[in-house]
Amino acid sequence: MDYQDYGINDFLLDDSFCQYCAGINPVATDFWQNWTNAHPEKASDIAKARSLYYILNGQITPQKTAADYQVMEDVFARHQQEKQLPVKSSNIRPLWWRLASMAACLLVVIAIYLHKTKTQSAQQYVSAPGRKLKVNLPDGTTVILNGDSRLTLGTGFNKSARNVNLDGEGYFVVKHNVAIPFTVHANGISIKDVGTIFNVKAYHADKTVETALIEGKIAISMEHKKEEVLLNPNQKFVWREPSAVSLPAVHPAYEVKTLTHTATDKADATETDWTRERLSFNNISLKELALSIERWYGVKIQIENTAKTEGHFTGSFTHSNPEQVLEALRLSGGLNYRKEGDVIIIY
Amino acid sequence: MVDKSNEAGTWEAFRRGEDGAFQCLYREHYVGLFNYCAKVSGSREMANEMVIETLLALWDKRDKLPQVNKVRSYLLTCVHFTILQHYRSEKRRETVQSISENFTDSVFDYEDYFIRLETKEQFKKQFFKAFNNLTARQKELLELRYYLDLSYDEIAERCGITKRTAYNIVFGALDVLKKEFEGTDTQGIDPHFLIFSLLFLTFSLLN
Repeated sequence: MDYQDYGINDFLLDDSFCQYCAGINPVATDFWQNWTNAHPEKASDIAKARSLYYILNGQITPQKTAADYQVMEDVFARHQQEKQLPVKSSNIRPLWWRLASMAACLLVVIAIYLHKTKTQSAQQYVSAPGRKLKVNLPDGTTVILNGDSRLTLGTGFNKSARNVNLDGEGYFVVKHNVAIPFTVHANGISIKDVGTIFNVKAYHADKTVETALIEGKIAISMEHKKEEVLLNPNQKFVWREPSAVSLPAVHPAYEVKTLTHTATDKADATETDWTRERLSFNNISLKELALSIERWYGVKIQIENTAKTEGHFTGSFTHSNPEQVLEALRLSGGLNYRKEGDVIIIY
Repeated sequence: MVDKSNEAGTWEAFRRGEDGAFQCLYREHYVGLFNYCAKVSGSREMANEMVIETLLALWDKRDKLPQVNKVRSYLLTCVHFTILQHYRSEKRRETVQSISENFTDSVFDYEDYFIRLETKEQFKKQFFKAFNNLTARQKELLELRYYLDLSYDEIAERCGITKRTAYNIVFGALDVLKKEFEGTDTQGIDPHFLIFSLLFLTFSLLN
């Protein structure tokens, strides 16, 4: 078999090559890694064949295979252990005892069943860090969830009201329906809307809510406050959970600002850049930047206390990986990073 | 798709409960079962769990398992059942319906899948354009071979064609798609990265 004459097609028609790409056969992996090293002139073709393979197989890479395989090993090992536990049995108990305990079990089962049928399991959509999720709600509204976000529908959604709960960031395009208002609840703030396009950023961990209005009109109400804030398009509402330290008079709980636009693109607001595959940030602290990178790429970042945390960052990245963003940070001076296993450390 | 001549051997070892047979069976069918799960249930996150759950259930009943000629088909049926059970228990009736419909015939939604790919927008557009120029037959076979990881024998049987024809169709499809990769350089610094690092340099000047 003269693989040297192989073109991209030929590699992809070879079963062992495909196994090597997917990382499912150690023998194949061994062979092809050695062969590639021995034939550097074919490296480019092999790389292209692999890229095409991953597109066609749903992005199942050796990394993914190894991770899933590990999960399988763990679950299987646990399963085997549980199977080996000896079953304790004792026939000493008298009959009345056994009948009584069976009746008690039955009552408990009935109670659980009744409880379960009462509480409807709420419909939930969850996106993993580093991944966006496009969701179509039953009423025709679409939501794009940014990384590490959870959207929960309220009970009786689309009957008399449309209530959703958001922990994370979502870009909402709401289906117009005056009779059934659509409300997003996040971190104690309610954003009511009728037929509108807006972005809500409210990660529970951040204790802030930012909502940017693109089109339409929304009304925002806060817990314990009577007033409602009305937003017009191109405005955004920013709310921070008041800490014990700051006085409400000096630091108001919320403000209304106009949407920001980066120098490169006046038309689209920075706040919704993430829906266009662009990671943008405007005048944020290092801590916030690290959080954004974590959520966007699904990586873990730690900031050592030796790192310079003062200063604010502005920037925009399209189709980059976390290393490129961190390299830019490093080039800007004052901040360095290293990788320790799965964690990126900024120092 | 590991050496199919050994498939019968793995299944027998699994039935006998041999050491390592579970892992072996998982490895042999991982790609096909995972992607099938992801496609039918619509959830990539839960797919691995459901595959493992299916195999565990079979493992527990291994002494009652039949001798099977077409192991992959058998496993796909079992996985499908697991998915239905999951959704029934969550009372999502519309999803159960659509899962049953998805069983064999619906074509994989490549467009939706492409949109989620983490590659450059420009390349995605080009590639998808080329992909759409393929015939329905070509797209179907690509999905069967690479996404569902079926062997050419299995593809031939399922589509009612010869193994040779299946090969030719896939080869022809790859011929079209490979052109999108030719002339592209897989190395080199991303120009975007250079431009945006300038933004940070301005930050350092201001600070």
